[in-house]
Amino acid sequence: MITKKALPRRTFLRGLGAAVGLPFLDAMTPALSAAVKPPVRMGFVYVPNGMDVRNWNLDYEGKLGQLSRIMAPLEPHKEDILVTSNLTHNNGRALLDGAGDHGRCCGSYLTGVQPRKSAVDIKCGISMDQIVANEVGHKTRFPSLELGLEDARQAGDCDSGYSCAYTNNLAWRSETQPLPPILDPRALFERLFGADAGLTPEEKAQRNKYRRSILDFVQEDTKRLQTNLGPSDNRKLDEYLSSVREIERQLERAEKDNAQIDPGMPKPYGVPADFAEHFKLMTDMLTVALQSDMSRVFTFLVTREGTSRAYREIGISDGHHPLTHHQNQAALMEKVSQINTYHVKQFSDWLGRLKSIREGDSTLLDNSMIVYGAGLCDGNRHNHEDLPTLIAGRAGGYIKSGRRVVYRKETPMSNLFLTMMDQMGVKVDNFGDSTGALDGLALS
Amino acid sequence: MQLEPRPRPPLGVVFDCDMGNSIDDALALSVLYGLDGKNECRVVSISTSKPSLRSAAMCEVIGRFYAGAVSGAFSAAGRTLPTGMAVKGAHPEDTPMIKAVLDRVGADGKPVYQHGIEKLVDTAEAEALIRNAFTSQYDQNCVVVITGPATNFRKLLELPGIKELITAKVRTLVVMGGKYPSGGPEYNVKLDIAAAKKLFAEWPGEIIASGEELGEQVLFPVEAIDTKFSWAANHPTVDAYRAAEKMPYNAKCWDVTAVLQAVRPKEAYFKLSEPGRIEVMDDGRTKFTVAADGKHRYMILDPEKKAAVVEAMVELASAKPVVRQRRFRPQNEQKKEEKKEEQKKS
Amino acid sequence: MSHRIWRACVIVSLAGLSAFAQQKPESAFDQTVKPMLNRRCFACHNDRMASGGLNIAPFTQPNSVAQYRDAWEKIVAKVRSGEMPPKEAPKPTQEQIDAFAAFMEAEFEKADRKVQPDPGRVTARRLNRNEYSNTIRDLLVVDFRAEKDFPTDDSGYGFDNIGDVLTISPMLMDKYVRAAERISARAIGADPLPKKPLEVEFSGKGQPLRKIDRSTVELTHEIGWDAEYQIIVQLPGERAADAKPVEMGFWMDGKLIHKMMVETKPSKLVYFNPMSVEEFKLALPEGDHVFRVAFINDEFVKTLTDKEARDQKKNKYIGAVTFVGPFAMKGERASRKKILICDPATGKACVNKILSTLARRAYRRPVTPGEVAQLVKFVDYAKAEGQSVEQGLQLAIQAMLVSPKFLFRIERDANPADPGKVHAISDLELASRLSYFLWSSMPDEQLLALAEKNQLREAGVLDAQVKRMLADDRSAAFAENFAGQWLETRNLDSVKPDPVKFADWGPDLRDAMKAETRLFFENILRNNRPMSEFLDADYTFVNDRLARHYGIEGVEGPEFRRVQLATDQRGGILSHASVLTVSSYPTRTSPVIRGKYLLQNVLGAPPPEPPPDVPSLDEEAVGNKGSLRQQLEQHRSNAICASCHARMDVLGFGLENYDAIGRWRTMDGKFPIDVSGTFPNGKSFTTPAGMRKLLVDNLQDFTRCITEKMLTYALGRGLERYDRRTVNGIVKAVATDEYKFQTLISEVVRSLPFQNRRGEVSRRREGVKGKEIAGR
Repeated sequence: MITKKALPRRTFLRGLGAAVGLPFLDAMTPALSAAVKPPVRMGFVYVPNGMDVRNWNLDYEGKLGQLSRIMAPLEPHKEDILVTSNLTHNNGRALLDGAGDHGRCCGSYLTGVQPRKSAVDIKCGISMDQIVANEVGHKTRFPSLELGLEDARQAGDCDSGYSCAYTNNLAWRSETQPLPPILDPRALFERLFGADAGLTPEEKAQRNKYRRSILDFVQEDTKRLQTNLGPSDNRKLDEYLSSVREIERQLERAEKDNAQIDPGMPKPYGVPADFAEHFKLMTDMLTVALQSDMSRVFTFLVTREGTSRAYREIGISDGHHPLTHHQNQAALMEKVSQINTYHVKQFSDWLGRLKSIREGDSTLLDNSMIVYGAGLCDGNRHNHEDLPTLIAGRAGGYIKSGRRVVYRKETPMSNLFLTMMDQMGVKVDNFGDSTGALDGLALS
Repeated sequence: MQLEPRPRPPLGVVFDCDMGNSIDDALALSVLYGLDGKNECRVVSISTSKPSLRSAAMCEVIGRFYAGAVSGAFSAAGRTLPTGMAVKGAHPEDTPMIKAVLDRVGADGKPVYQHGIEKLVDTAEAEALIRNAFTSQYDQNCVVVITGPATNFRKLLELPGIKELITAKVRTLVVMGGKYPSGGPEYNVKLDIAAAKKLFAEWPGEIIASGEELGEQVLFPVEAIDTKFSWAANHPTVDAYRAAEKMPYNAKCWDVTAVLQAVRPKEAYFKLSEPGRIEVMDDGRTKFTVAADGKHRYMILDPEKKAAVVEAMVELASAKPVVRQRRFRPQNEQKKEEKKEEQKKS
Repeated sequence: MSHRIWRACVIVSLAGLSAFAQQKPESAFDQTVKPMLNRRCFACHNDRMASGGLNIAPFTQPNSVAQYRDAWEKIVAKVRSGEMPPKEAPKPTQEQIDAFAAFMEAEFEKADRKVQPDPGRVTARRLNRNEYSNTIRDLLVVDFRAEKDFPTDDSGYGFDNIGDVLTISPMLMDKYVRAAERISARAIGADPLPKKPLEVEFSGKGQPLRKIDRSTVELTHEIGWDAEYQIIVQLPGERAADAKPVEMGFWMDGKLIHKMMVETKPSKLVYFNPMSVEEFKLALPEGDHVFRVAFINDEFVKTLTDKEARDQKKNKYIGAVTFVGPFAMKGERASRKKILICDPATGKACVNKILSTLARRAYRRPVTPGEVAQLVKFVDYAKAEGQSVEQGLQLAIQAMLVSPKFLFRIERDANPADPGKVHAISDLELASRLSYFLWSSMPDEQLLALAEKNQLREAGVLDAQVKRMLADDRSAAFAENFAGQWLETRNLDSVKPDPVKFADWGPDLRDAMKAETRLFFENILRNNRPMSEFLDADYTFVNDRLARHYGIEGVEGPEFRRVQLATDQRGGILSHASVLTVSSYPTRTSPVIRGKYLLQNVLGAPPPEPPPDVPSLDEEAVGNKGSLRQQLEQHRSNAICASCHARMDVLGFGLENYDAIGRWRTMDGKFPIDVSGTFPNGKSFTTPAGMRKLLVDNLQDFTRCITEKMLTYALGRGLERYDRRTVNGIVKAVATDEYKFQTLISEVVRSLPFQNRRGEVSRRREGVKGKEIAGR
């Protein structure tokens, strides 16, 4: 990223949250100032265990009027969201693989393929965010960012023989390599703004030089090791190598721009116990990253699929997953709705912050397309059609928001992804189980 | 606990018709559900190539008549089987048989037959629906029956990876289309020649064709309509039958023959031509060329079996719906027994 | 299954019998097995009903033993346990069951003898977080906590050391690079400290200072260097003129590292606000730490009202804590003593010596001169960059710590592609397997030396080493990691019992729970006790906190001690609060989860997954609408669930006397607890102790279960069908040696798969398999 040294970094960071602050484009990047379109950012915010669809669904098409109970917190952003219905993930269904809808729906969500049912021998597909990251990632410091709010469970199997890798990750770098989300605000802070804020540019240059020499050395080492190994062992070392190369790329990018981005907040310690606080802390940092174009692609696994997290913050002490199997008992369904609404509230507050950041004559939110949704429709029925989904932001003007679009039954979710990739400038003929591009996002 | 070896699951049937254009689509679907009721197959996909919500609605009416709002094959997933529909195609217009069924109202002024199709979005994209149906079938345990123009399959065959999927899952495609050996041109083929060309040229597996000449000789005995269906106060197929043509008439059963061949090949209701290749000409005529490695054959009427065919047709079409319960769900009275025991215990 | 359905079955069965009537000729199989299947199973497990997805017909053919081995094993197990045929069905006599089981066992062994033994193959294992930390500790004497900033390792088969599952993401790689920098810098300490010491204040205005109670504050601070820091504590306020001095303590990460007496009566000095300051200097390790400052047993504040407590005229309290530093440490640090075996300033010879010695230990094998030369290059490079030799060494160590040779445990075979080629792993590979099995760390000098001399497999050596390693403190890692995951007590960190219903719950109780189970396990391990003690014992380990929790009298003080148990309320892991807590919901106990837990971790018979729409319990109802038991039994009236719950719930209810955090209880809400239950084999019990006795009675199942778990952990791979023989062998051997625990361990070490490996079978077929119809 290109910054004018003259500009005191703090100034532009005032933009964070507060409505004031200099427009990002003009202030930060003469290279792409007003005339040039701001980059489009793409993101996914995934909530687990489906929803209480009775209180999610709208009973009308077209312009958004009265929002449903769960969407209600989005009232202030009505004009900035597009609600879609009937999008389906066929590969989340059993398709003869038996139980394990939680494992499947999360594993297939962004990959569009049917995850292999195994606790160890995992196989999924490269996720669409990573396809995009591979194409446009080189333009930013981080090809993509993976965030989450819940620590992965530590021991045991996750869903009916599906590895925890499927329920704990949204992004897949390759068929066998998930990208674990960062959960600790501290870790995210250090990844974004560097663990070494204290170092002088000289020290940093020196350190990076050393790092390169070490990375060269280990790559040599690995090549020598890889002779005459079995396929599985080789696969492990390939994983190692591709990670090493990714670090190298990050070094190169970091060297190209010495800009020290100032997060405008102290380095956080520990994980806030309060859900809303944690959510805000992570999205605050994410906002800076998007605003300063450190990355254009992110996935945010709000909590693990199938999670049993309890929400004492709103007086719910039962686990989320047990609650979703409410068998239509009003008391339990009520609690599910409360959790769904609580999630949307946090999301809505964040949209407010994105909206407050101006980019030329538009806002950061205008130039984003952020899918908010679940991998299951009704958490009680475990069904995979009509997934609760909405898209926030206008993708730089392509999306005509403020409407609800209902698609024909069985329309693949992958069609939406195909169209989103296209908006990110990634042209592919098909993705996952797509049957074609998805019309109706732009007014037809 | 799933212990190998599993019991063999019923055959999955993908049914694509042009419901409304002739009565035998309705008869064929009824026969299909008759077989479903006998656990000889499961209807896993229904679609129409007639670009009309009313045609789709009629399919759903018949589906619901037999399988209830939640159709058997999908009850486990607790979802209704959506109806696929082509958006563009031949004969969008309404027909007497459709009107007779959909517009029929009872004494209370409400429609006699319920369905959930009012808008385009109440139907499914046919190619997606059919592809998804394939993915949930055991290998080589699925058959496809096409009784109308192949419009929906033209799009299906354009999906990536679809040929591999078909090869893995589908045993046979039985299609009512063409005229053998003379060559037609036949109605279904003419309605969408391009689709028919693509189907016969690109379908990766075995195709058995039921020609115009065959169905013309297989007639549905009209008296059965009066006698065999009396158990049902209202029966959509019967209403359709009475309205489709001037009563009394014995309906020609092109489509029904396709269904019987697809689900009951072992019965050998029909003779089959030697293997060869069916080609569709630009004028809609069909050309059959014998070839040892050919994957196409056409059905030939077997005079000895004709009686059996008609009998089966009537029996299956007039079979009562079978309410399919979830396996192992205990009957209510027995639930009560167990509750009593518990009360004793505690 | 219900009587109703059962009757239906009988009718079908008659037809079925005739179907099998004309089977000839009569083999032993036909005489012993077929009649049993036809008479007892076919009624429901036939082509039409295939109850539970099983159709017995194919199993009536002798060749089915080879064909459907897994299914056969399950069938025999269910018949032996008495679970099948179900209670409504006419039961075979015990004699028939025994004959049937014995015959099939023999058949299995016959079948096994036909195939050549297969040691399987372990995929290269990446060090997981624990192994990394421990290895760094033993290699460089640096205290590094990987779990603090490395991402969680994925786990498979219930353990997080499974080669196939341990992946590397760019994020982790990034962590490795940074960790290597910090660790090497801390080990050598060659980087100069900042000229000016930095000052960080924690207080109302500065960095946040958390008030725990009236006389306790806590703060989190990142210490930048291993160095000395000056800690300044500001103490506003003053107490009465006759107030006694109070002792002030200073904790780091829960450990008390400094104590001093503090005067609390008015100082004669004149302040606008009374205030005093205490200072002390401590050597602190680099990294994030939680510091706590508190007045120890400060009786005085307890006498104050909240208002007084904040009144500077009435009370003295801790107001602010300031860290000033770093200052150079006095004395040589241990890591330098360990690494700098000569003075690197004296030249290349010494540098070579240092790096070759270190590399040998880091790579856990002898190193080639070429490898050493590679590392020496870094020293030259650093010097060329104008840095010191020691900084050069740091750089070389960094490289070592990022190298795959350090991060992975890779085992070699002559023909990696030929699964037929079975061969013994090298002594060096064996040494690493041993040390990571028992220590979760690198081999020590003795082990490595023996391996280099190829003496590890000489008579008695291996056993002696195992004994020695178990006696060594490092084997605590085995209790921590194996037991922690086998018994799922690790999850204690993530469980969050409802603070309203369980006000007792807190870090101190949680840690006490962990400690009990760890000490209990270590006791059985180190003293080679019989494994029956896991299931039932007349002793345990408690401190005052846990004793209070258990209602055990006369235990004072925070340190743990062994106590003889007076009653039979407790005894063995199944009565440990740790186990009982991780197998409960936040708000209540769950007989289902506990039952599943027992089947999975004690009896080795994990239940199948529930159908997608399992009914959940009405929280409010439990305890007032009806007891949990009544509710669950209603839920079980759904036959789909009943089949498995019958097994699970009996075990789960057997533990109902313990609440969701393991407290003893006799009432569930306003309903009395009913623990009684009957095992499938007809034996019944009325108390938890009674159930434990029954479990001890079939120690076989437990032994098999723990053997499978331990083998999985030891090998770092899931068990395959061909491992069954190994498991059977170990179980037999352990049984003949009075079920001594160490015998189990040395048998695992002796076993074929632990000592051998083979080439890899080319990639198995993708997914499709399960989707084809078998037996068509």
